[in-house]
Amino acid sequence: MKSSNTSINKISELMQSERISGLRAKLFLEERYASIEQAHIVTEVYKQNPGLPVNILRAKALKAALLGMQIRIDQGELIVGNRTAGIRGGVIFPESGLSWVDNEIENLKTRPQDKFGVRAEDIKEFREEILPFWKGRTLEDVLDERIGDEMRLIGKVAKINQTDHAQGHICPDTKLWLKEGPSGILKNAKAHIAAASGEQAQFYEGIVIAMEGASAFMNRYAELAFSLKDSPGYKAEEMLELSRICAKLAKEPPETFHEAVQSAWFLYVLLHMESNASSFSPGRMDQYLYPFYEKDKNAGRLSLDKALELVQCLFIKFNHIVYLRSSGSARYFAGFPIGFNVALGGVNKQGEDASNELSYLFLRAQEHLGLPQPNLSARVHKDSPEYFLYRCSQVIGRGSGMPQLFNDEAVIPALINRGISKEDALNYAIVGCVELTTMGNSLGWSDAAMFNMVKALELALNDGVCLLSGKQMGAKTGTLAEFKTYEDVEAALMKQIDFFFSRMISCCEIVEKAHAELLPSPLLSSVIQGCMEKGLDVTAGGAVYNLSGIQAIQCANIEDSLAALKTLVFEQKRFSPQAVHAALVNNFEGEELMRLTLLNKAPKYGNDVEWVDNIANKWIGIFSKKLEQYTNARGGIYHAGLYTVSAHVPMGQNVGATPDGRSSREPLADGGMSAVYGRDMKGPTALLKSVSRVDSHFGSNGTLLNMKFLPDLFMHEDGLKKFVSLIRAFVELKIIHVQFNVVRLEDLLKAQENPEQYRSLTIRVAGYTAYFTELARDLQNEIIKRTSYASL
Amino acid sequence: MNTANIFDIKRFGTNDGSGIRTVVFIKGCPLSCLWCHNPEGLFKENRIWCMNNLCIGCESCIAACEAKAITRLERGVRVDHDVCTHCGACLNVCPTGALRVDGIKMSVAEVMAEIEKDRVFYGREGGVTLSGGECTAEPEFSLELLKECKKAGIHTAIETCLFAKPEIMAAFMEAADLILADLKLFDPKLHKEATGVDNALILSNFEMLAKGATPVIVRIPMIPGYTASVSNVSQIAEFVASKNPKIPIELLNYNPLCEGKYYALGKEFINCTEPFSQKEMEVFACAARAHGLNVSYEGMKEQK
Repeated sequence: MKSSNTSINKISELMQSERISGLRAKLFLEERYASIEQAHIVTEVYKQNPGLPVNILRAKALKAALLGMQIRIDQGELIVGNRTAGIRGGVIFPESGLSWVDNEIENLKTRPQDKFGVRAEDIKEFREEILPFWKGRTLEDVLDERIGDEMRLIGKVAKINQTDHAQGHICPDTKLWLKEGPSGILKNAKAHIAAASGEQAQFYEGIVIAMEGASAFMNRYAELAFSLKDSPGYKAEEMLELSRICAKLAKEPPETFHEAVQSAWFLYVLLHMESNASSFSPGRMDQYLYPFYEKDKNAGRLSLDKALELVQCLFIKFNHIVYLRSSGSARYFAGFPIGFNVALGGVNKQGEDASNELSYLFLRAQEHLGLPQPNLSARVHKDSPEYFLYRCSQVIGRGSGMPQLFNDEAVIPALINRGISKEDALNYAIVGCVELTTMGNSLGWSDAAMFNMVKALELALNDGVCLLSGKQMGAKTGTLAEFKTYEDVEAALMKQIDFFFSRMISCCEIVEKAHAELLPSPLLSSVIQGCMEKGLDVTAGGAVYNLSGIQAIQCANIEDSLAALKTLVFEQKRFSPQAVHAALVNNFEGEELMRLTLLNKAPKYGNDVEWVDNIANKWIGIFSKKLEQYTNARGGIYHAGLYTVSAHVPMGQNVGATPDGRSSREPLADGGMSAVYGRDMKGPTALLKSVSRVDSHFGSNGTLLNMKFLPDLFMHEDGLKKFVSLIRAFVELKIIHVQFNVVRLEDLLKAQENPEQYRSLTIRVAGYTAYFTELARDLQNEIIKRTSYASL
Repeated sequence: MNTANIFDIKRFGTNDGSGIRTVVFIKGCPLSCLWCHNPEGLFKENRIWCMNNLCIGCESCIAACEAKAITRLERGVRVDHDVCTHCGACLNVCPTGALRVDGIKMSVAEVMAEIEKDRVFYGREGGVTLSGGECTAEPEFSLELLKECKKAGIHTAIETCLFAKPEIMAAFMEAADLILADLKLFDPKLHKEATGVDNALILSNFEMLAKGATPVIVRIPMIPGYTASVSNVSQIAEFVASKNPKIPIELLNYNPLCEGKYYALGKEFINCTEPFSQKEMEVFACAARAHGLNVSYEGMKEQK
């Protein structure tokens, strides 16, 4: 299949250069290390400046790091900058929390998930210099003192997040940054200072300090590139050009495509250095970089090969930054997803198709590289060009799990329904894995908490007592043995949800306030619309939009469990409520026939059975509407998300036996909208129909559907066209999100046997892509077990 | 309204016609090919049988069977079809779903309701394919279903062995948008041995199709030791080319996955091993292409 645009056809056939092959190979060769370099600098600044306002302190600490951290330029790099000299360094960031580092620093090398090397001298300095100073001052310590007991009490049902790291999951206004550069923003902040006083003046002063640091950082790269021009392995011409670009960006906004890509990358490095958070999302790069690309191309300054090479250099850079998590967190978010989420295509302000040559260049870059980052997303809509969908399908068929697809026909109305302006909704992007955001003007706080509804159901069936620990955890609502009707079950579940809801919201509020108090972010605030105008930090509500997202987990298990109770217990009376209650308490010990019957003889989510799917829609709706009653600490709304990332495994370990025939501690359904593995028996079309029955308005924070296909379908044009038809139907069904794993089962099994030979095998875990061999064994096994759809 | 026994309605069919299709498998077939991939489609009546690999040996079915038609095997159970009264008690109690009935009597309206479920996926190219068994062996039901699909604006295809009275074949030609016509063996004697019937009727029906306006695709199953020979493929291709050289040929590689079904049905299966490699398939394809036809097989053009 071909496009009618000859440039686009050429783009789809561009070859990967040797430079890119070399840079890609290098990614895997260097060992990852935990780094305390920045922690050391930040600690010194805090020690030397007691009593300064915290935003000034944070700005000064950032500036000191930008001036003092080691920097490096590798041979062949056209895009430069990283927050550690080493590739994929894990940054220890004291402001947000150290207690887990205290517990785990010696084990980083040997833990099951996401290992990092640690130098002995670093451990020593960490214990002697850094840790003692920060005791009681970190976000984690402060929150533990304020709400630690409460969070532990409700944690198995409502897990509160953002308690030990700074807030990312935000899409900065890269377009503004490309227009102003650090000096333009600095000038703007200075102009505001004149008319401001008190805290507002302090706010602007923080931005001035941060921008001074940003310019100095770029100048350091300019100097380093210049000094390398005659070094062996470096090309003088390239180093001089890089030096020129970095020096220019320190003072002026970019003009060429190369300058713009470098400028954007500097912004993301800077944001990571300020906050060490996950996901500063580039958003719609094919849109805001296009004017630079077009100007250079028309002027004859930029060949398609060079443009692809620059995009691929950026893609490789996206993989240089990883996020060091605690081992507990790494189990929930395995494979250090960092969430450089790039959204291609979609509609423009007029609602017309916005895909352009850059969209295809990004797809080609992904087709070659197949790396975990960027988290490449394609926005699709009813008028998406056939060739765009065809190219997306081809790239999906390569097996990296990307691009994942977002449906404009579902997302835009869902955002408008939450009070987002039409213009901003049309211009939506994605942060993190699958969280929906507007571009450059929103703090979505999209992972405020995860609410395990399946655990709430467990408590509803057992008088609020946890089946695993025997502790009274929830409200006393009686046991299944006492229930006379299905409605009794529903009433108990409602009470359990209410019991945890208000407690969860209070905790979320306290967490958000602590961020504003301890982790104001001047640099980030300078690139989020609303903050500069209001003179208010982004953590304190400076953004135009201030939302908070809470995940409802997991609609498939809720639907399957309630359907089994409704049909087999209360309608057909095959088992008495007492017998099922006793079996659940005993984890089906001696009741295998009952377990199998519950599993096989009641209808399940994912099979296109309307009345059953309405159960999920009902409960997700109840959850979503309850959230609407609350306002967050920044004055914005709460809304629901339907995704777990890889948390379905650990969250399942917190839940006892359930009436869908699931044994105690088994994983929940993966993703968010997926069926429980092996239970969707009617193929992909039936699954999509079931998913579409959950009203997309309820999942405005983001939803996640995993589907797995065998590679055969993608081997020839006819199969690809069928896949395009599937995408068209997905659009028409108004499902928010879907992502595809295309991988041979044999490959996964071989990768388990010989991880060395499969180091670059990437696999879609949840909302992101990770290296399969770097995942813990149980997660690997879980992925292997997930449904795959062979063709007839 | 007409009814038929349906043994499967497969959604997201990607191998039986253009686009995404729902494939309706109708029970009963005038042929009895030794290699039949859907042995449950050979006979019209619905029978209960056991997927022995799913059976956990709980014997709930044996206890529930009043006719005493079920006996225990080392692995799984066997249902005596002469004794079975089709009361369904065993199906209801089987906790794993290992026991299943191999067909359900459905009306045209009931099948249409299933077809409509995937309407959103059909687009311009996809639709419905009637397969089996043999759809022309249930002409009233199949023709009514095709008419209903047409009324609903859904593209239709049939997959047929062509062993039907010429007037019935003509009616299907009229009713369907695409015909997938199976030609298995050209030699009449070998055809009779392997399928139980003579191929004269099949070949004459094909002549009629070749002259008609409805698009036709010929499909040849590649069965080791039976149909998969250069001479057979070449003879079929020569025949097709002599009637209408515009008709394309699809070679269907041997698929050994149905062996388990034979075991469950208590039948012997031909002793076959592996599917053909791409290189072997290419040899057969060349034999057919020599007659100037457009020939394809799955996996022919790997994506570069």
